[in-house]
Amino acid sequence: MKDELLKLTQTICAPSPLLSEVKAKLGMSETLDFGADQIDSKKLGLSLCPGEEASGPMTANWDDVFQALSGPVVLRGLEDSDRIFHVYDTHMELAIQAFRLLKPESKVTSWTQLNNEDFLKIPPVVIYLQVQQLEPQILAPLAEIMTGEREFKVIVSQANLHQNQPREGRALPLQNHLDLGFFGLFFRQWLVLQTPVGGKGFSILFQKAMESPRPALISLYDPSEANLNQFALETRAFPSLLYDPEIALDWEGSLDISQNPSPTKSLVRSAKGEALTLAHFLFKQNPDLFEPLVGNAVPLDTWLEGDRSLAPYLDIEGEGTKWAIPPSLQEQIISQVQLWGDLQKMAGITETTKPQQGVEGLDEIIKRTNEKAVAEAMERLSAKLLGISGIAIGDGEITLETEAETDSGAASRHTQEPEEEPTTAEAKTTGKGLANEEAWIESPLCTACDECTGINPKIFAYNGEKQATLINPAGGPFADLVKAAEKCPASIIHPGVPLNGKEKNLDKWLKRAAKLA
Amino acid sequence: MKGLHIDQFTPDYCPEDKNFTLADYEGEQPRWCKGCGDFAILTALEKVLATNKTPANELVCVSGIGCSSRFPYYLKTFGFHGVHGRALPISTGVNLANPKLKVVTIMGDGDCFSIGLGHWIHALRYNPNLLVLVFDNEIYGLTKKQTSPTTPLGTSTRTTPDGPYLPPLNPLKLIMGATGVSFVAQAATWMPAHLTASIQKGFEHQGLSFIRVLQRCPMFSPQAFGDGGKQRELFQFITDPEGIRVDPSLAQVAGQITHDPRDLRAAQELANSSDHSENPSPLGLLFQDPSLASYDQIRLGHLPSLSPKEKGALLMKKLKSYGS
Repeated sequence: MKDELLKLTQTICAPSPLLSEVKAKLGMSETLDFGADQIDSKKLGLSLCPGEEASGPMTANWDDVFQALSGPVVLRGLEDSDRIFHVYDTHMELAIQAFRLLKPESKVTSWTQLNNEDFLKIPPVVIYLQVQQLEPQILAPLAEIMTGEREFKVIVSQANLHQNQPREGRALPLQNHLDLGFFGLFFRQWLVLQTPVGGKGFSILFQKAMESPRPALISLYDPSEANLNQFALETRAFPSLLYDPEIALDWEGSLDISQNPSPTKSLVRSAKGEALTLAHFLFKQNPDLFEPLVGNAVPLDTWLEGDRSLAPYLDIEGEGTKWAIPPSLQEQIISQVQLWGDLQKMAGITETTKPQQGVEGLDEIIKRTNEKAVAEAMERLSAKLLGISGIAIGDGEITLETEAETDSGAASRHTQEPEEEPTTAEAKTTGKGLANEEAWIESPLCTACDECTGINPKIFAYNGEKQATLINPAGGPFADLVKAAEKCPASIIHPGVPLNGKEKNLDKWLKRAAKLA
Repeated sequence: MKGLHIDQFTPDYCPEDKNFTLADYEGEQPRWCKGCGDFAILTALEKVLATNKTPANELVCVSGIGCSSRFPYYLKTFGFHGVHGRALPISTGVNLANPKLKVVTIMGDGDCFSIGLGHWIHALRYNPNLLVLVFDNEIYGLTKKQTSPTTPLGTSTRTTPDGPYLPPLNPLKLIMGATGVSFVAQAATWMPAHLTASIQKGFEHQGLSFIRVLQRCPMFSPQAFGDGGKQRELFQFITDPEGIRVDPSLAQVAGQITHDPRDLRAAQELANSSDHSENPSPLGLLFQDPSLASYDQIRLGHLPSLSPKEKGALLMKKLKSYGS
């Protein structure tokens, strides 16, 4: 499966749209490889750096550029983070050279300045790690990579799950449950995909993660036995989850577990009505953990429902033998059931999932503020563009998508047709009217004073020109946007309207934001 | 004295076709307070260096004492953190020792206009080839709010709680009275594009380019220069084809005045009237005389062109002549 995974990665990430554009610009045949075409390197250099004739053409290393653009860069292993960062920086630097060739007028000097559309044209830097079993040693280098402020696609594929030798006594709580999915969620800004390879909808999920403008941690279970992958899903031993912070700001909106079998149920039941648990998965993977039952015990189903008077036993369909579940596994089984329940809560899935009701009152305030903010932003923009001030914009001319609409979109993502629902991210890209109510910053007037980036570096960051930009208005509370706007010595931050109507003390921050207008 | 690592001199570090970015000049992580205008000046200078493709090993940043004078640590070039008020003599020495090096001198208002005033006037007269940036926030910030020569009347400080006894020094008035001045400009940190254009203009000038940069201190003089520059009516841009370009978007936020920077008398009059508490303070190029020879040109012009070996022989001859 390893080769197939890499092949899939290649298929998704190559041919690079950037390479196609560069070839088109240079008049090269799309099917020909670089080297077969005759390129005038001087002409190339000049087209890259117009106005450089006097000092001689730039001698870009075009072999490197084309090599960098021909497909994803795949690195193996995590240990040498300096080398990994160096490869990433070199790759991006070469890609930027290509961008400058395509758009000589562009001021882009760093990949951090690219918009999503352009960034996605660059083949990603993929870190690929295949292990038999996750070891705790992986966490430190992985954290280093994930906090390195670079957009990697990290793929970790493990062949075995829950393989640790069961512990007993005081050692029981010290048992490592390495769950990369949850580890990834901790970073909040990374897309996290956890799923068995080849399970239901695997290709779609994998493609989604690889094509996202976010850095991604992809945790895969790739068993040697083909049928174990689906069984890992059914027994919740390795629940599938997709956390995409690009879609929404809260867990409910961004966490998708609908690809699991019976996502609204606590446990999946087999055709014969037997509740499938981690015990079933472990039995299939390693029957040696269990011993034939001697003495009295209760069925696992009953035990899980709360009857803990006796130890549980496992009755595998058709086996005809009752298997004792050792105490060391009992806690692990309960924990896994609870973990799934928590995932359901985080994703907003219950047995009777209903679209969420907005918080009354606050929604109204937000809606009203939205309309006012749009009108004011338009006025400012028009004045700036035309070089005059005092343009009145009639209320009727502004159409606005309400907060309620996007809320319902986010809340009902877990229905069977998620792709039909509008999301915040889609609304952003399709320009359905949300842009003007968002926070904005006049970056060219930034004095680089570190106030806003100090208040919340998840919201504000410098671009290559050392001008603060709004990297993610949802990277922190509305309060941080208001504080940054108040502190900005150049008064160029406009906090817009809150994205989260449930934020604490919102009234207070809205009032303070109003004073800035 | 701050040095550069040997790796930074390899051909890979500064090849001729290198595309310089701000990161090429970023030194240590600045420790200025959040909201400090020093950041804007650092960024503006880095932009100018990148635009001019200045290799880091061809620039020396010299400073005195003060918050501003931490600048050399934050710029990944050669640097010299001098003593209070003495940045200009050190800079002049660097310039004379190796005129090929570009020298940027960083001082604060206290550093330049108070303890370093004597050096300042004479450096102006000597006109060495330096880019001099004076960060004027009307206060001694590093030592926690003492009156500086430019502190306005009525400003309560630790040394004069009821406000200074004397009206503030107008540096522009003083500088335009000095003999041998060749470049005088004024910019403000809250208008970064104009600040960058001003530094670029000074960078291109041969001789001493003096740029007074108005800024606030977020801790001790947040209200300096009209609420930290927010009272735009207190400023006016100098416009002239030979001067510093004013971005059309900025032109709306302050008034404008036409002024020929080659006209010494007009520049002196403008400087006289530039007390911002009464008249709008000018932002832009007040005066430039590119025809004036710089001190290194004058001094080194008197020396015969010698090879290092001949220089050594000459030096030995002079040494031997001592005491004879």
